[in-house]
Order: sequence, then C-alpha cells, then structure tokens
Amino acid sequence: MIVAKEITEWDKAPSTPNHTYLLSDKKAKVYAYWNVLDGSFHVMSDKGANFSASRRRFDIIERNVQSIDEINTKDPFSKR
Amino acid sequence: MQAFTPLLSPYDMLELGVFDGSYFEPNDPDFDRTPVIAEANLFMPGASQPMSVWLENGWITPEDPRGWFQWYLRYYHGRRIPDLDAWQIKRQRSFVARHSAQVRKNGNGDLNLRRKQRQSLLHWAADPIPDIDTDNKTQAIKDMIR
Repeated sequence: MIVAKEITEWDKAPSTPNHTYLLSDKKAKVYAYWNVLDGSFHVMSDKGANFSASRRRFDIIERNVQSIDEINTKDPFSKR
Repeated sequence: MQAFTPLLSPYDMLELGVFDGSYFEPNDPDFDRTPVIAEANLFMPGASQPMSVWLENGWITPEDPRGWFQWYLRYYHGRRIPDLDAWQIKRQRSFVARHSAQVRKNGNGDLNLRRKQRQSLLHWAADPIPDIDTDNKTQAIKDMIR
C-alpha cells in the first residue's frame, strides 16, 4: 500500500477536498484516508473500497505500507 | 457508463425545495452562481434520512462528504471522476427506477399521495410527478411554487 496526498487541481469543482489516502499500489483501492478538512482519520475498508484515480494527481508520501496498523493515525500530518 | 438524464439541475432542485432548505448556504463555495434556496421541501418536510444513516450505509465518499447532491453539483459543474461518477449514477438510476414506478402506479396524479416518494425523487433530481402527463414536465413542477 501507499500513502498518497492528492494534489489534483479541481478546476471544475474547486471546493473538492484533497485528502491524503492510504491506497493500493495501483491506486485502485482505498483503505483509509486523513480528512484534510478536519485532520480526522477514517478507515474505509480493511479489504479496500473501490477508488478512482483517473484524472487525479497524487504525491506519494510513503510506499510499502504493509497494514493500516503500521501507520501513525494519531499524528497524520507529522509526515503528511 | 450508463446514461445519466436527470430532469432537474441542482439549482432547480434547491429552488423547488429539497433537504428542508438546510443542506447548503447560498454562499457555499460549491456554487458557481448564487442559488435560490427554498426554505421548505416542496412535497413533504423531513423526507431525508439523517447523515448518520448515510455514513452507516457507505453512501458517503471522501470526495463528496455531503453525499449524492454534492457529487451531483460538482458533476453538473463539469468535474469527472469516472468510477465514482459511474457508481453515483448507478445509485440514482436504481433509486429512481424503483420509486418512480411506484408513484406512477399508485400516485393517481394526486399530489397528496406518495408525498415522501415524490420528495425523495426530487432529492435525486428526478421527475417527482411521473403519474402526471404534461408536455413540459420541468415547467409544470416549477409552476407548483408560483
């Protein structure tokens, strides 16, 4: 899994939030995300929910994340 | 992707009366023009389930934390996230097909019948009066608030 901060420029809907996501390596599944609006951490699904990365841009912050438990959810913005 | 043919724009919906008028403020950054927001629902107050139910059922996505209407507003403005769009369109089509058929069958053209379903169809940008024949459906609905 990877931790990816979204950097999409939403020219058609500029208020769309750019969260930081815990994604599968190919960005087809989302497991969790840090909400950019309030800093909260949310687990979406241990098995991964469908995710659509098409037309979106991301900065990869971490690679080779093995599990949701591995990442520091309480201090999400120390690295992100 | 399946065809997506909502009857009403997000701005039409707000003007007609959805979400008890409390879903958005007129100055919300999601709007690209100042909307007219009716303070009350057109057909029936309190027709929505609470946000907690939306969350429990997985109907809220990180991209659009206020649900389907927010997705629709952004889609209407031209944003495209293909898989997310396909999922939201599928949800809309599924809901509308089921409830529109029930209103068409049991509504009898009486606006006092099936009020909650009519309001719910409006919340999904769909025709809330499928049981009434008229040449200009959108205008007929808008005439209800005049």
